[in-house]
Amino acid sequence: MTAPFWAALSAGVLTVPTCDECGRTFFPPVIVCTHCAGSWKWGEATGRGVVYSFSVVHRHDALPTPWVLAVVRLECGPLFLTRLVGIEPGAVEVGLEVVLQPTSDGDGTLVPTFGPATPEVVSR
Amino acid sequence: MAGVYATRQARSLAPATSLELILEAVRGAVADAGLELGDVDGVAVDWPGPGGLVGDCASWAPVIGHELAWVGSAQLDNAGARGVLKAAAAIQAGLCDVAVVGGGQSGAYTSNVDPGAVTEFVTWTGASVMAQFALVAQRHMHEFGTTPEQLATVAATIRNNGSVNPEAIMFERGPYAVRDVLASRFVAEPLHLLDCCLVGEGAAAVVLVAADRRPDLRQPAVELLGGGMGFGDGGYVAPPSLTKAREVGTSAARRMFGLAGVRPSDVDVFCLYDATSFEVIHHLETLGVCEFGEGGPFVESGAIGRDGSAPVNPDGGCLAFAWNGTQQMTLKVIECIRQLRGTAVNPVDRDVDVAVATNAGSGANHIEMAVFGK
Repeated sequence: MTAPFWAALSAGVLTVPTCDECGRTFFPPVIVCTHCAGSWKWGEATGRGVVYSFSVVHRHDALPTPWVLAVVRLECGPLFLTRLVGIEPGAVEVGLEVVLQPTSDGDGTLVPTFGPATPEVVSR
Repeated sequence: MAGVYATRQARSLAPATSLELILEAVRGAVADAGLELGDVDGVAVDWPGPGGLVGDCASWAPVIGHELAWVGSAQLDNAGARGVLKAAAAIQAGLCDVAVVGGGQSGAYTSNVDPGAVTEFVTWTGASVMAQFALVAQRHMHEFGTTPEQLATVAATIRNNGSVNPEAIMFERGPYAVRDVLASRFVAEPLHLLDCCLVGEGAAAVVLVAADRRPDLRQPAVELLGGGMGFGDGGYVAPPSLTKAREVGTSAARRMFGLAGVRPSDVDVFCLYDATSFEVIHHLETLGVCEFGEGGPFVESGAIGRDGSAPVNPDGGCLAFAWNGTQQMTLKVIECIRQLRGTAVNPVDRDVDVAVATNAGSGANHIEMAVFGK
């Protein structure tokens, strides 16, 4: 069900489940549209959004700290859990405009991280 | 609510096995009720093995010594408010007469940063349990101006209850001031180390009986007055959001108080899910003890102390008494019953006629609650 998401991401495109019936989007994917229970297909999202909430993580087994966990409100509506990259943790705030900026995880997999939409907001 | 028992709670209880601890809790709760193991005919108790299918409550039949009339379906059904509500429903439906709810763990957890479940769109981020709770807290601070000092007030109040509870893992640690909490290192902002709950081991069990068994009991009767549950999503699947946290549980609280015929202001003690300091604010708001968004000033007023208008977690909660996996939920029920019986280690500064337990988890995706009375 989710292979198309990762295939699109490797081309730098964020996709989200888009309902065949009501046209609305949601995330994460489940078997039917969470708004109307209709069938859905992966549809292209803009990759833009704003930070709904975030946490600067200081203690972690795997990733070098500090790093920023964030929930992004995508332009098309759904909330998306991600990590923020390319920005000083101290510069992150709720409402910050961000854009999809995929990065390579440890094993070479591309993951859907986000970065600041405007380059000047990299540090504060 | 006829019998309760909690084993010793500690960071590690090795070499005791989970099953040994759970058996101690089951036997203890049955004895506390003044009953025999053979009286039990309903079981919602963790079965960790060895022997039998892990998680299969029917594995208790040979231990109890006879066929069971009703079993739970493992995991969260065996714990806390949810376990008690389902067992009570089974008793009320006439499916069994004496039910045990509980479980425990020894040696199961080695890390407090892995939610355990593998969920494709969460796991890659590396989001720990605490970081997921932090996301909800941060949004609450953004929307309502809730402050780190208000979160720290919760942590200090509950931890100070634990520091004078000899049964608590953190007994004699502290006392803590708000500034001590704020001075502890960050785990996941806005949560400091002292805003986050313990990780430990232990077991717990409670016994429920049909009303007509009351004359057989050793303890003063405590009644389950009502309850409610809300489930917004599976665990750790979707990003935790304050929006969802505000929805999930609100109707459960209405249902619970409606069934019981009591109001939030009638409650004398609250045993609330305190995985983090913020969760207490979240649960007070969900229960309607204060308005949404007003939990910060409410806790800062001193209301949640043992001498306050809404005492919370007088035993020290998950922050300082114990967290032992899912059975921390049963510990909340046990503390309610001990407060009602007048046998709690740290009684609150008022007569207790009504007590509320809440359980939750997975960021903010589910909540279960029960209200008890004399």
